[in-house]
Amino acid sequence: MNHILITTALQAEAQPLIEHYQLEKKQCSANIFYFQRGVITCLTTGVGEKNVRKRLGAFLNETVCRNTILMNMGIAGGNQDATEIGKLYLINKITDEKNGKVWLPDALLKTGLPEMPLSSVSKGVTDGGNQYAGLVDMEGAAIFETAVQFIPVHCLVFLKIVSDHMDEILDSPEQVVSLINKQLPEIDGLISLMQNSGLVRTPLLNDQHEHLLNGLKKSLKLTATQTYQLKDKAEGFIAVQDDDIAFLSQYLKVEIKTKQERTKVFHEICTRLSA
Amino acid sequence: MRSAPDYLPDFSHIYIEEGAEKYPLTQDILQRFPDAVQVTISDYKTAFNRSGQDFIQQKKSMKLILAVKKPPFIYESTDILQDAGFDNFVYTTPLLNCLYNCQYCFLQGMYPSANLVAFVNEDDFFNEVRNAISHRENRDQPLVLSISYNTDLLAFENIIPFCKHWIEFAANQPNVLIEIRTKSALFNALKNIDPNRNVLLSWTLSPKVVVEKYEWDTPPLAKRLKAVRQALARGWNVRLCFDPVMIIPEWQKVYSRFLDDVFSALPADQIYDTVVGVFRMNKDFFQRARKREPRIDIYYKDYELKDGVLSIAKDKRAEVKAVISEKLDQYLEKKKIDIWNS
Repeated sequence: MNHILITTALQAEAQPLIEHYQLEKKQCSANIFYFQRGVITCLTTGVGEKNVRKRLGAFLNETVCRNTILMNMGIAGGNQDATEIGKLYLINKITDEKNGKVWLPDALLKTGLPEMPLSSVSKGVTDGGNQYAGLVDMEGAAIFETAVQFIPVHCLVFLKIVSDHMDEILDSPEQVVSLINKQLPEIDGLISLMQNSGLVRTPLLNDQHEHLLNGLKKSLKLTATQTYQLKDKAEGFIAVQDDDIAFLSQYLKVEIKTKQERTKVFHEICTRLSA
Repeated sequence: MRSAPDYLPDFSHIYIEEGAEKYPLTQDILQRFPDAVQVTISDYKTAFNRSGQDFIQQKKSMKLILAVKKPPFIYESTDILQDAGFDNFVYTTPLLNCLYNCQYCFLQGMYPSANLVAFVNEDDFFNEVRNAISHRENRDQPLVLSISYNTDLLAFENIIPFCKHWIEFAANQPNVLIEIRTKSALFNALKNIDPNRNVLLSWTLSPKVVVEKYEWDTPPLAKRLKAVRQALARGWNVRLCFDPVMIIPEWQKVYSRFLDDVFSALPADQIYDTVVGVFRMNKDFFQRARKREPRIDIYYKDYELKDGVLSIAKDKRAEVKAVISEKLDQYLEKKKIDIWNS
């Protein structure tokens, strides 16, 4: 099952999810608090680009992202003619208003959601925002730009609930919680879809394989080239033979005293993996 | 192979480069996909060259990008391509990427994306080809132009009728021979077009075991053979491509039987020519393709590296040449057999 990392800007956006999934408060070494249970994690980044880069960047640096799908979820202002208040949209294009950069999530799964472009701005918009064709927030672009360094684009999902038509400032947490709660069944369905989807592929070498190969590198005192070649051969063995490399663990106990010994053992391993 | 019920259908999204919308081809395509989500982008590379893309995942739900090609429009042939003895051999790229998913194909490692880019400014292509024809080096030979090198254009014909447009262009151009290489069985898309001596339809054919193991999402051999028969019956020039010959267990017997089957299904005397090749790939593309999908056995065989290209060993290439030539000699004149052996 894939790991879902939900990011929100506001605590009020996260609260319904924390309660629904009974997430427990945790802390990572960068002094960042997050909520987690099983394969669902929720991280509140704070509002605005700076907060996102600092908190999300630090969090992703520490956590293993191999099977993670990031879901950015929150409220956004919407174009009055194109959007409905309370409705949930999937974002297909994010424009950073500050520098014009465009970020494009890869929509691969059937979500059934209507789609909209998103503009990320640095200040709240309350004049009606007619210049924006879709939705407006303050974090989307920074989240994408930070997260794509760790997570592939097809595993970055941006969901926004329209809270206003950019004609008022929504400053009531209760209103935010209410908007999220109304869409919770839909959000829950999407999370389930993503958890069980084939979006994240199982790597050829799993954690046990990597651990074994690292162990061999140390015990046999392999050079950098030999380490690379060993990994190459191991991948080939698993791919072609459809078999496991667990038998290599016997070599963890071999004592290597000379280069010649190392070469001999290494050659033996490669021969067995090439058979 | 694609089997992904949770995934959106191909071309659920169409990215439109600013400026492309005014071309008639763009409007035709958008009409064919009325339900597609349209996303405007400033440059096709914004979508095509994104970092962090997953080629294998994108193959399950390919998107279409419509763009305006900038120069160059024509590229010089490389040693990897088969020029079949022609001097003025060049290629062009009206479409980037392919609907099919052949595991030995260089496209597995060439582009950052599996999405398809269609260039809608066809007249610019045609003008450049006219220019290339008039400036070709060997005036005694036509300009030989491969238009389906980075793709399979015929497979795409019901989506964008590129082949039809190029055939119409070629009909009025002396001194050009346009090659359309395909694995498609979609000859019906061309059946109402008059055959044209300036066009060479090239079908890649492989034994059933190779099609099933490596040529994912392509039509079966029997359907391709039917398409070839239809093309021949209509009077088209048809080339047969046995490329790459895959070194599978008992490959000599497999290919020998396969070629017998091909020439019992097709009239050898009507074949324009044949080209034969072995697996070969640019080393960088190879490494990238392997990293993307490490579970394919092709990436773990022994290869030689020469001038940046990985291929099977020279002695093996020689063996392929000997085995395949010997069989083809039974059906075709020597001058109709071209073997890549770089």
